[in-house]
Amino acid sequence: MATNLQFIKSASGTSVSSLSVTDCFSDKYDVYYISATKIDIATAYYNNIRVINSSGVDSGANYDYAQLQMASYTTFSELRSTTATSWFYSSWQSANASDGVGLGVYIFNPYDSSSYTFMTHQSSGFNSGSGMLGFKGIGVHHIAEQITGINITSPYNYDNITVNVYGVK
Amino acid sequence: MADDLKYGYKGAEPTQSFGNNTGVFDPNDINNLIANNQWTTFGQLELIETKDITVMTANIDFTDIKENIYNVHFITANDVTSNTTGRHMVKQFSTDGGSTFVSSGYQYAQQYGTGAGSFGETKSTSASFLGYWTASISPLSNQTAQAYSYFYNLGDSTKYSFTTFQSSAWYSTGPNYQMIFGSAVYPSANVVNAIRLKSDSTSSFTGQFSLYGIRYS
Repeated sequence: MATNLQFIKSASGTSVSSLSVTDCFSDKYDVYYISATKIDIATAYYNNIRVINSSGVDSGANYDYAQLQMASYTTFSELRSTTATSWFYSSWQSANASDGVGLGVYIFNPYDSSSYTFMTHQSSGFNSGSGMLGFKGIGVHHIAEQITGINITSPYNYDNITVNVYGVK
Repeated sequence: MADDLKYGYKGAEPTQSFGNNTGVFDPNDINNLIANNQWTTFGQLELIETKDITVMTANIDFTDIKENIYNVHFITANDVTSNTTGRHMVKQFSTDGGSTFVSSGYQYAQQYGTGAGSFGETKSTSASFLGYWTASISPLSNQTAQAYSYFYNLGDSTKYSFTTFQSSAWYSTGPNYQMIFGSAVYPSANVVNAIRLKSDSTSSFTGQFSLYGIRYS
């Protein structure tokens, strides 16, 4: 049973289209918790997640995900893919700086080169003019390789973004 | 320690940060560095308070949530029973330290499911609470509810306050086993400095409730 979180590192960016948290995974932990709350973006869009391997950020069609999009203002939607180029839709990011986001992600077995890398996530965001937009889902990076970091990405520039990584001990 | 020998250094002092503490430290140095989030300690899920509620209680309030230290909070509910069958626990925020609690303007969206096969969605854009935090709760001590929730940006006066949550419970009537998960927001850029756990209707509860802060969040 997990008994605590151990802070590993934080990464921040200004006016960037993506943020990489490099060398945050190691053989010290099997499970990691990632939080993101301080994100401002130029144009409202989803925050998507990619992994970093020995060649850099993997943007290949190596991601599977299945999740439920839960909106306070409209019918829920199932979102899924077996050939995605990222873990799409981890959270919704409003372009209003005051809206913010609450995103929590657990990553499993990233550093084990013999295992796929798995994730679960849950988030709450705000779609300006409509209402609360949340996601809960699962994902896998279906390549057995060593993953050393993560990358948060969007088609639009992040005015500010900060991501924190913890090891689950 | 004298200023001219801070951390054992004369002249320029080394910059201190998490994972990079250099020098010789006395207890005051360590206390100051901890207060400034500059002292390396492992264990960033920090217990703020546990409430062991053994007598049926309507409102369970956390009024010292240390929102100036933690940007992410985590709360657990264990072995929760209700004095009325089928009630849910819900959450509300306070912006005045717990003197009053906001009772309108929340938004939530959540999914429920039962072991009997019934699934559905529940949502609101004008709620009096932050969603149904727990599944339906029984008065019986061996048929309890468990739940957890994350909170984001409670202490940030420039951001909305968000929460995500999940729960499972067994209760004596109906489909018995239930689960709930969802997301919610208090869409107001205010500092939230107290959390209330209560019923969606008239009811009281027993159980163990623990509030944690995640440091450096």
